[in-house]
Amino acid sequence: MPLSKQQFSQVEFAARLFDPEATAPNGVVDPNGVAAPKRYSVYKNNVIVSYLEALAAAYPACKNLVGEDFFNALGRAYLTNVPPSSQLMILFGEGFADFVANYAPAQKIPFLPDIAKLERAWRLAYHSADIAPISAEKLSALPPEQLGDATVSFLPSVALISSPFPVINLWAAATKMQTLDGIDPQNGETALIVRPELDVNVHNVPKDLADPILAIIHGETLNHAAEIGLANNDDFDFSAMFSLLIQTGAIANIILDTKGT
Amino acid sequence: MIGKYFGVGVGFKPEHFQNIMESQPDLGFFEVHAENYMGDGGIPHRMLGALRNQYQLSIHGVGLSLGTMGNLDQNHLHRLKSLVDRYQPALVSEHLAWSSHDEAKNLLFLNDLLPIPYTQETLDRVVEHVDQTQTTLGRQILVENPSTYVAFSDTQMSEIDFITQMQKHTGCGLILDVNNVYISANNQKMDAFDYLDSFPTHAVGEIHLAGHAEDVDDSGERLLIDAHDRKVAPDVWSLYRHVIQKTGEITTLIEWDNDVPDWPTLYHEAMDAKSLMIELGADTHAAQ
Repeated sequence: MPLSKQQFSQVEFAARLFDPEATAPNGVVDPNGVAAPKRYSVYKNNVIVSYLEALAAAYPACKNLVGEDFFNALGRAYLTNVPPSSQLMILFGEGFADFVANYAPAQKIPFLPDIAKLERAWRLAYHSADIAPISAEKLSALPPEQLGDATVSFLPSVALISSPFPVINLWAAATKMQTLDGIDPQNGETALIVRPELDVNVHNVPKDLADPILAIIHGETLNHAAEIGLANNDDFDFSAMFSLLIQTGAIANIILDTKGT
Repeated sequence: MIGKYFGVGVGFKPEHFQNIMESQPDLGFFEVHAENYMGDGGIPHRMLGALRNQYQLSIHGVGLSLGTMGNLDQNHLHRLKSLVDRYQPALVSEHLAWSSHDEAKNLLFLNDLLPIPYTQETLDRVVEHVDQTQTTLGRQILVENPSTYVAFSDTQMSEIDFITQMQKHTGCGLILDVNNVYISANNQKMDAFDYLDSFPTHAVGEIHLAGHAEDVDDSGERLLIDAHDRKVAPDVWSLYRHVIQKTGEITTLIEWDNDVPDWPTLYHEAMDAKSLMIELGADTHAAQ
């Protein structure tokens, strides 16, 4: 059907919502039939404000670090470049860390993308499926001689973020609006995010455990992870790493290699 | 007779959870936005499960986009179905509005309840989408009258005609949002009492009440905004009284989504609605 000039187009209505310069689409009027840009701008404002609020709720530490004006400018640029594509506002903010990493005005805050990564992992963990950590009974029933060839399945909340910056300390201070003075910016940290029950926990993992834990998360066997640990550090302590994973509740199950033997 | 009566309820906010569990308020139900409970697990589901154990639930969708000229997002519809199957709410509802479109297969979500012109073409689309939703969910849904800030030169019929026909063709129930009626009547230069008198109240399963904000339009005239950020306005209470006088008891919700007040303030609003129904002899057998 050919479109008449006045025909309402949702595509046009939507496209203009994110463009601060755009005027009202054709056919959008007041009750007297007169063009109504100010009335239309109520929708523009609603949409932008709701997304900036959702972004601030998802990345509160980032917002505290850069201040409201900077954060809102960043948010508008993010919305333009990564058009929102999900109805699930509770998970809004996908790809924000990557966007921040490439956002020129944010280059003067080099740790901002890692803070965003941590906040994203926290958010995903908060809403992740309820899976219990492996039970003590199940753990003690595992034959020790088969552990080396075993792989591990983690809770869906688990994420590991290795940063050249003190990402946990910065995040914690920014979340509480505390000063960053006294935090050595060169002191890199690795964060392990786990939600074993209802609360999301952020653990500061010793630096030399980051690579082997990441290998296990990626599906490598425990033996292979130990090799990686030892290659990085002669003093690598496998049992310390393993008990850290158990104590944080990160492990859902240990899968023995049944076909290898 | 109007749909089953579930008493007076409020929109659930997580910050009120402790108060609710401790005080066991005398309410018929709690309403939640469907999309806030579409995560996989964690605290939101723990709270909703606890509420469901003690109260009826109303699941109110804000993201299905019944008014889209494209197709309904099947993924989202199935997420809604999972939620409804899990919590077995007393009521399931959505809006006469659009919030997303799927041009070129890329869903763009706009996170607002956007208006549609009232034409045969949009009516056919909405009817199709309500039918699809009710078929997928295997139950009736309620569709809410919108609050609007603009009109469309394409519009061919009144909002009342549109809603009446939509209801007739789909057999859906309706939410009568009295605050929206007040807002739209002001913004579209209609008479709110006329609107209420011609609304198909026989199909109303729930009334919504909320607060609104005030702005001005292009010609400097009063423009009302559906803010849900304060108490229900006296004029809106008058309209509510008018409806209840005509129809008797109707399940009624207080919505307060922004600048959320403390629990006693919100509960007090709900009790005002209940008192009004009791005063009019309407609240005769509130469901527990």
